[in-house]
This record gives sequence, structure tokens and C-alpha cells, in this order.
Amino acid sequence: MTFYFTQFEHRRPPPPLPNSLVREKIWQILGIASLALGAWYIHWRWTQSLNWDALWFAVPLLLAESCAYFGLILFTLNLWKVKDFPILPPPEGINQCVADSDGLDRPVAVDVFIATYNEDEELVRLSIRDAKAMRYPHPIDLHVHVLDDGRRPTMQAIAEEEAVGYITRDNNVGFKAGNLRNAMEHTSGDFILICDADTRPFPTLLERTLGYFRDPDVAFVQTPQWFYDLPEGETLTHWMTRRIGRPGRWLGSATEWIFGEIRVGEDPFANDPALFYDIIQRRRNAFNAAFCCGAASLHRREAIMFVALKAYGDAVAKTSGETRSRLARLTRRSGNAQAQALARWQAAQAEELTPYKFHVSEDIYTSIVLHQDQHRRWKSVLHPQVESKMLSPQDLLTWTIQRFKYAGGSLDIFFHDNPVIAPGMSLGQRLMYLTTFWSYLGAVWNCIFLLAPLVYLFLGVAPVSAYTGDFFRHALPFLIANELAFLAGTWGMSGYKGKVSYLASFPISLRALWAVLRNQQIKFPVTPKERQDGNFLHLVWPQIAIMTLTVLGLAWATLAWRLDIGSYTPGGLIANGLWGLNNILAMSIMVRAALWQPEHQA
Amino acid sequence: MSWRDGLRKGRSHLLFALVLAAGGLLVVNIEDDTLEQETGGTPRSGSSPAISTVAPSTPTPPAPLPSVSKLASRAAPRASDKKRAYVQIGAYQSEARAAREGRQVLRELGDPADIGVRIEPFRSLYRLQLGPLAAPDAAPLCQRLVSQGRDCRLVWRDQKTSSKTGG
Repeated sequence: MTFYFTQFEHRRPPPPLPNSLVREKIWQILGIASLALGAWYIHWRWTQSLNWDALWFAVPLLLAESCAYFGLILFTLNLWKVKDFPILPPPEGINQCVADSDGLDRPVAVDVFIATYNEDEELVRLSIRDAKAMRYPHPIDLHVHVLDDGRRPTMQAIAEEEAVGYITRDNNVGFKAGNLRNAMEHTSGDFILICDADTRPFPTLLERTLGYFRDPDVAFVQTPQWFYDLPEGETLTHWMTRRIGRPGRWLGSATEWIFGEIRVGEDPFANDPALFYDIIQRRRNAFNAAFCCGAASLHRREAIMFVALKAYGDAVAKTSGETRSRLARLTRRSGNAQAQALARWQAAQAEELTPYKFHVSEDIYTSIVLHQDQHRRWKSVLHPQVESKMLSPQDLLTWTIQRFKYAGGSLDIFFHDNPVIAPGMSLGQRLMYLTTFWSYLGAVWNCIFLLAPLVYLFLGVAPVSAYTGDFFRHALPFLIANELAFLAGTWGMSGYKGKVSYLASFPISLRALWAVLRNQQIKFPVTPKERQDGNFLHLVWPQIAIMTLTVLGLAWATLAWRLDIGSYTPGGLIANGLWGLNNILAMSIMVRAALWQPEHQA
Repeated sequence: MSWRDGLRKGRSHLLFALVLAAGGLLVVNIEDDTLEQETGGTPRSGSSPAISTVAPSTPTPPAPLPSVSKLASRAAPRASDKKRAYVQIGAYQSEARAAREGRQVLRELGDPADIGVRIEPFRSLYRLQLGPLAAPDAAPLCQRLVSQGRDCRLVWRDQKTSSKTGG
């Protein structure tokens, strides 16, 4: 069977970014300089630059700048240093992976869970075959299981054809988390490899990652997710030649000669997760704060059961407390040992053991519970090499669903079960989780940054008292140092698309925030693995509105300035014009993504 | 990874820094030119009350202010120009601040009965002017204000003191 991604099968993942001590020191020096200049700028902004005649505008913007600056501090800390865990040789037997062995050694047992619901059965077959092809230098007890929440006979037939396990259930409670829990009840391997329907593990996955578990405190290993179907686009020279012929070729060649290769139409959804895994997650190893992202992660069953038991214990304690209160009210007696025992027994009967919390972000939840354990001090590892390939969202609807789940899940944890203030974690771990949550809250201040130039362009009201030397003397060193710092801090990685897509995806995070604040449950439908047809412009109307208003605002402000209406200044026009232009460019990425068609459909 | 490849991947940071620097310098030059026209001199450091938010980026010495006599001679008064002159002593970001400063200056001058405060909006600024004065009275007043360490510039009642910068 031929899929759209068949043509990409030959692609190989990029190696992890090489680490250099010298470059790391340069990044750290520039990072500190950037933060110091930022502190100077923010202090000056609060104390000397406020436009007192327009506090309604100046104060929210300054609050937004301050929040963004705090986010910058967290992000700098996140990226501070690379500290990879040493890759240890694969264990020969289970005794090398546990603290207290019982003397009876045996091969390591691994269960591979391929969770599926409604994906194409032939797609799942590819994942099954790749999972079966994983090699290991020692005897290993490897079992591949298809966890089918779709209860499809066709899927069962394929599992039988491929001689792998087929596990299903008569309901879909808890969606993916429930599916995983059900599979755990039917299996007993020491380690569990979590795969989505489209996760295609490489043969090296187990031999390179099981070695980490020689440390008995390592709870899980997350490997980077790599989308091998990302559109590669075409070079600017080629693109311009196609459009305007020979002049385009000259212009394109000249531009690429100066700036290096530029690809048009590459990764239209800014899906490439390399920045997240190779930089953000990898550098959390230093704080033992890399979190699990679901697919392509390997878990120690003991750790997952620990999470389950802890959740169970907490639930029983909570429920039995409520039952005790009820009994006390009924019997008008308190402190009765029999009543307490009865309440505990009733609660224990009512509660279920849930290894993976039934939550849209069950993977982060699992990580949080493990990191919070003060007695065991579980470790999490981000393994830098890509060990599997998977498919990226192929349309804006799928992409939006996925981002909404990420944002909603994270914000739900932040507001209802915040690990930053709960006991258990180290300071570094708290700050890393806060970095994640803060990035989702960033939609609020990003919204202000998008609206700020519009206020000036339409009303002529500036947030600062003047766009003069004093303003730029404080702002420019900070902004330029910040760019240079992140050039060094993310050396070898293009962060532009990530940055603008973060800015442009503000409506998704805002919607997620609104849902969480209203206590709405974030639903977790399965992210479609195939391209959804249709027009997706309705998904990006806020971005289109920002672009349109900015263009109109620029036109109006220029006209008003020429006619001497209002208090526009050339400096203010240029500053806000450039700001607005940056916003338009950022928004245009999402609008182009809405209009994008794969080559075979275009 | 080669240096060239690293720079290629991070070019957006460099381009952004370049645009920020170029745009910033352009805006500063334009805005400071406007203020220079307003105040008759290069914007001074934050301690200057009239231009407290517009300190120059480098501590260059301020351009020489035109002397009062020069101002007076440039705007030669005629016999019929009685009480058409004003002296402009600064431009402020807020009207309230300009008014406050005007009251302060008048107090320092001994609250003369025949001199009032005029505040003229200009773009994002509020010009603070004292008057109206007969032309011969303006020059001594200016001299007095300059001796008190203030800026001073003679303007006429209907005079446009600044043209649109860059327009």
C-alpha cells in the first residue's frame, strides 16, 4: 500500500546538536548580559518612561513586557547548559536494572504498546513491523501489543498476521490513558515503550536507551520525536525562477549567496520539534526535569505503578475522609476507629488504580508525580538521538487540535494541580515546569504586543513618553544582546519559525486558557493522522484581523501625519510600523499554513 | 557543524538585530531632530526638565544655543508688533507638567501681572511659552531666564516655530 509519506521513507533524522564548552560559555555570558540589560530596561521603563497621559495603554503594555522578561529569565535558565546522561551499555539482565535483585537473573522484558483508535490499519502495520525489528545485543523478552480502542476486527486480524498481541476493551474511558492502563493490566514487562499508531521505532531504540535503566532511579527515557514527512519546500532561487524567470534566478542566487540557502514552503506549520527536544528538553536534563511527551518514551513499569499507587492512595484518603465526615454526621460520633476503617474500605473499593492519569496531558502528569516523590527521587532522561520517526499534522485543523490539547492540558495542571507550589520538587524542577506553563500564559502578553502598535497607529497614543534616544538607549542594547545570546544559545538551530509561530498561535492558547478558567474539561479527541480536507481560513481569522488592522492602521497613521492630524511623529510611525510589520510577518505564517496544500494535491 | 552553517541557521537573529539597530538609529535621529527644533538645542540628559525623557545616547556636549540677541535680531520686531511676542522655555510630554513648570517659572520671576503662561500642543509635546510681551521686553526676559539656567527662545504669536520633520 502506498501512502503520501512513502516517498519520504529514505529520510534520516539529523544528529543531535554537537555540544561545545566554548560555545556554551559564550552563550552564558551573552545570556547574563542580555538579562542584565533587560533588567536595566525594565527598571527604566517603570520608573522613567511611562506615558502618564495614557496609563490605560502604557501600564498594560509595561506589565506585558515585564511578564515577557520574566519568561526570558526562565527560558535562559532552561537553556543554561547541556548535561547529557552518559549512555551506558544495554543491560544483560534485569538484575542490572534494579537496586535490590533477588538473585534470579533473567532477560529484560519489554512491552511495546502501540495505541490506536481509528488510524489506517496498514499504517499501524508499518509501526508493528518496525517495532518487531528492534534489535538488542542480549537475549530480550520483547512483546509488541496493539492497543485498539476502536475494537476493529480488521486491526485484530493484522495483529494476528504480524504475530503480535492485540488488546482491546469494551469502552473508551480515559481515552489514551485508559487504553494504556488497560494494557498494563494485561502485561507484565519490566519496561514499556509507548508508541502512537504512527510511531515507527528504529532498530537501535532499545539497545541505545535501556542502558539508562542501569540506574535504578531512572523512571523514564524520552527520545526526541522526529517528523519525517515535513515538506522540504524549494530553494528561493528555484522558486523565483519559476515565478519570474531569469531575473528571479539572478535575484534568488544573489540573495542565497549572501544569506545562505533559503527554502520557500518548508515546514508550513512550523511543526519541526527539534528546538523543543534537542534544546529545551535536552537541557532540562541538568535539572532532572525533562518531562515525558508520550510517544517514543520508554518507562520503567515499577515507576508507573508507583504513580498509580500514589494516585490511588491520595484518592482513597480523600474519599475516605469525605465518607468519614458523612458517617460522623449520620452517627453524630467522631473518631470512631470502626467507622474510619469502614470508610477506608469503601473508598478502596470505589477507587481504581490508574497508572496513567485520565488527563489530556497524562504524560506530563506522570512526570510531575515522579519528580515530586521525595523518597525515591526518580530521574527522567532526555536521550538526545532520534530513535523513531512519526508523522506530522498535515493540515491546520489537526495542528490546531494538537496545540489546543498541549496548551489546555498544561494550563489545566497549572491552575488546578500546580507542581510549582506543591511540595516535593527541587527548585530547578519547579522552575522548569514553570517555564512550560509560563510559555502558555504568554498568549496573554503576546496579545498585548500585537495590539500595541494598533493603538498607536489608530489613536496616535504612544506607550512611551517619546521614541527618542533615551528610549532606544535602553531598549536596543537589551534587544540586540537578546538576539545575539539566543544565536549562541541555540547555535545550529533556526528558531525563527518557532518564535513567530509562538506569537501567531495566540488564539489557541487564549482559547485553552479561557476553557480552563471556566473549568471546562479539555477534551482529548485523537489527533487525525491523515490530512483533513477543507478550507481552514476560519481557524485563522484573528491572525487575518491583526494583519488587516495593522495595514489599515499604517495607512491611516501615514495619512494623518501628512495632514497634521493628531500627534503622530515620524519616529513613532517608523517604530510602530516596523513593529506592526513584524506582527504581520508572524501572522502570515499561520495564514499561509491555512492555505497550504501538499504538493500532490496542489 | 561549520561556522557558515551555524550562522545560516541563526541568520534570523542577526537580521533582527540589524533591523533593530538601523531602525532605532533612524527613529532616534528623526525624533531628536524634532525635539532639537522644539528646544533650540540638542536634547539633553534626563535631568533637563523640559526634555526629561529624551536623553541623548552619548554624552556629547550640547550644541550651542542661539543667543538671545541673535534670536531677537533674527525676528526683528516692528513698531506695530506690540504684545505679539512670547518666549518659549521648553516642550513637555504632558500638559499638566508644562502647566506646573509654567507656574514655577512665573513664581521665580516674581509673579509679574502682565505675563501669562501659554501652552501650545505640538505633536506629542506641549510647548511652554510666557507672554504676551512687547518685542523689546522679550529679550531681557530671555536673558534673565538663560541666566537662571533655562532655555529660551523667542516666538511670535502666530509664528509656526517648527516645520514637519521629514515631511
